[in-house]
Amino acid sequence: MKSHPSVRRAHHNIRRGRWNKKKKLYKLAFGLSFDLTISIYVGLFTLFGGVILYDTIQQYSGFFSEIERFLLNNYLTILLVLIIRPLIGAANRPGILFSSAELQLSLLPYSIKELILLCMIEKWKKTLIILCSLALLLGLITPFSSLFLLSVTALIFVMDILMTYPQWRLYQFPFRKKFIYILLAILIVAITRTVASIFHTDLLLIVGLCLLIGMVGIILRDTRGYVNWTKVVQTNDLIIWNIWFINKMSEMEIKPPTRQGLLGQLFRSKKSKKPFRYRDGSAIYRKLWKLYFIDHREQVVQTIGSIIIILSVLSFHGPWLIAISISLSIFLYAQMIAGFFSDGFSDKLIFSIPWDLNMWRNAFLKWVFGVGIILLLCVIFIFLLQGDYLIWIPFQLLLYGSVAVYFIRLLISERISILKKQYKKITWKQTVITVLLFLIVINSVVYPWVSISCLILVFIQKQAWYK
Amino acid sequence: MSGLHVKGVTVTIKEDRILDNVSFSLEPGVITALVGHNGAGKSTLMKTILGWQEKKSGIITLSGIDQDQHFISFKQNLSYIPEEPFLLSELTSMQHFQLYGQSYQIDEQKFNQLVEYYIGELEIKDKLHEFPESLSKGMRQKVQTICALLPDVDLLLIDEPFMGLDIYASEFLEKIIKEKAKQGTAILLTSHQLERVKELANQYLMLKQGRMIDQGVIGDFNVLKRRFD
Repeated sequence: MKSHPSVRRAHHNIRRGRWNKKKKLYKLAFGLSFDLTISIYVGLFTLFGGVILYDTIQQYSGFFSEIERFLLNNYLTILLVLIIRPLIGAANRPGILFSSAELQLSLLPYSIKELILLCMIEKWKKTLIILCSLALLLGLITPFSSLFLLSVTALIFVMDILMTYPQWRLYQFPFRKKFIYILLAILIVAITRTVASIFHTDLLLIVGLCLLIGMVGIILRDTRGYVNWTKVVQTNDLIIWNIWFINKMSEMEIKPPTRQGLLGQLFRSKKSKKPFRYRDGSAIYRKLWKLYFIDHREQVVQTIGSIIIILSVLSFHGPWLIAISISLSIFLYAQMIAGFFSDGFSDKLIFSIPWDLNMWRNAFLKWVFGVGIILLLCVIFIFLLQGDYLIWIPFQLLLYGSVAVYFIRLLISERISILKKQYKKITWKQTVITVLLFLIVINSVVYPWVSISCLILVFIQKQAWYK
Repeated sequence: MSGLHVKGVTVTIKEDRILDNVSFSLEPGVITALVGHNGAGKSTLMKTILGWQEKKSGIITLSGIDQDQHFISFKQNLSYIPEEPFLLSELTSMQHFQLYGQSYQIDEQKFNQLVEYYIGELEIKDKLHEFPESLSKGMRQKVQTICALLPDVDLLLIDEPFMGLDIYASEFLEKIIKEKAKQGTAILLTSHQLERVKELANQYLMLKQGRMIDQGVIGDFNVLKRRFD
């Protein structure tokens, strides 16, 4: 009788291969971003930064003692957080890094249960190393007591071990059931914590803790043992290989094949399955753009956030800087929007069909103008805070809106010509008009009456556009 | 000038010539098999016709429309069935059909008739309102196939037509390909199932290392050239 091959060895080989591949990728990415000079500079800056950080931390020793006392007095809340965190995490992550490599191994004569166990042990080992390193670092640079750091480390580690399997089980639940469990857990923590704060009693926190433990018990009692392997493997592969630094260096982003998060699941209501009204041609394009923006929400939020930061930071340093911040915001927003418009056609299926570009553009602009209104509200807020020339605000807003619309349409027309392979450049006349419009925008803050004259100019342009 | 005309098309990626001065014509109503070893440039040729792949030189016209001059009108005249389905995970099967129907400006009544016919023949009536990830690979391929079959176009590009389809769906697709050809559609298909292709196609084009080395009627096709002969 043949002996069974060693699961441990096979799994070890997989992990070693993964480690080597990651090492190679990091080496390539670091090679791209750091040369000797940059490395020396970064090293020196890190060293100086470390010294400054250490010095600053020492000056705030009282503050750290305060934190230590607060956390020790609220250990029950920490416990609640440590239980609820993996439960919420189960919405998107299985908690055990069982990837396609392990699934492939399970097709060979290796026990899947042993493979899962090895993945769990691997996770705990990693957590222990990270927690100990962090505790050591904090012990070296902060005034936290060793006993405090040791107990917190031990508590987090034990809870991580205890909650690994409940997270795995909850992840496998059907969406609605999982959603209800997570919502319930959040409600339990929120209510007990709030009431406990009002009545200054820990008893309610203990009740909350018991309820959460009871819920975990119910989750574990679900003995059907169904595991959605495809979903588990897809998610874990993404977690393992979607490495931010390498994505940035290689300019390639690994995208999840399907949306599986709570937001995505909620988004897929019964209504979203209904066919479109065929005669309402724009409905399908509006939905496709909506989905595009949801897919690219990170970039959308980053850009809008940057614009709001520009507006808010520059707006408290006099009218000329307000004017520049508004012009800069219009310029950035239009450029971002034009980039998104082109990118929307990069999907294989979208690219392969003939486009009714007017429909695509109009559906796109509806979203763009919607977000633009939010930015205009920020401008209103800034003007109201300034308190000067309140009577001119409607004209100024109309001016900024019109200039933004003109510039966005101009850039999108250019992108459309590229999509059509016609490559029509923006003409010198359009460039002059754009520069003129931006100059008027800049002047409109200090000389608000300028905004009226510009409306005429924009009106003329609008006529030209429709012709 | 009807049909597809490819003249002196060269495609390079970095320094490599993936297609080298490729020229051929497809007449309306003719089914042409594009054959070649792995890496011969079949998929690149398909992608270049679709406009996914920029060409370094050459001209591609379809029914007299130049791909570079009137790209959208050019696309209006062709549809494509890929080897691997590339459906949008956010749209159901029916919503995909609607996207194609609207993009190719198919009249609503005709659209409904066509969808009803194809979903019946390909047995996916019960999957009409499902998202792609809840469909099997074969089902997704059926949805993708229906999308491409909905419009009446001058050129139908098919990459490995029978991949992932069951025997009934394959037979139905074969029947439809012949019907489309009878109606005047030029069909260019790639497949490694050479015996099946021989029965279906009228003409063949043979690529080897990015060059068009042979073409003619399918009866004259003997053997696929190896990559390093």
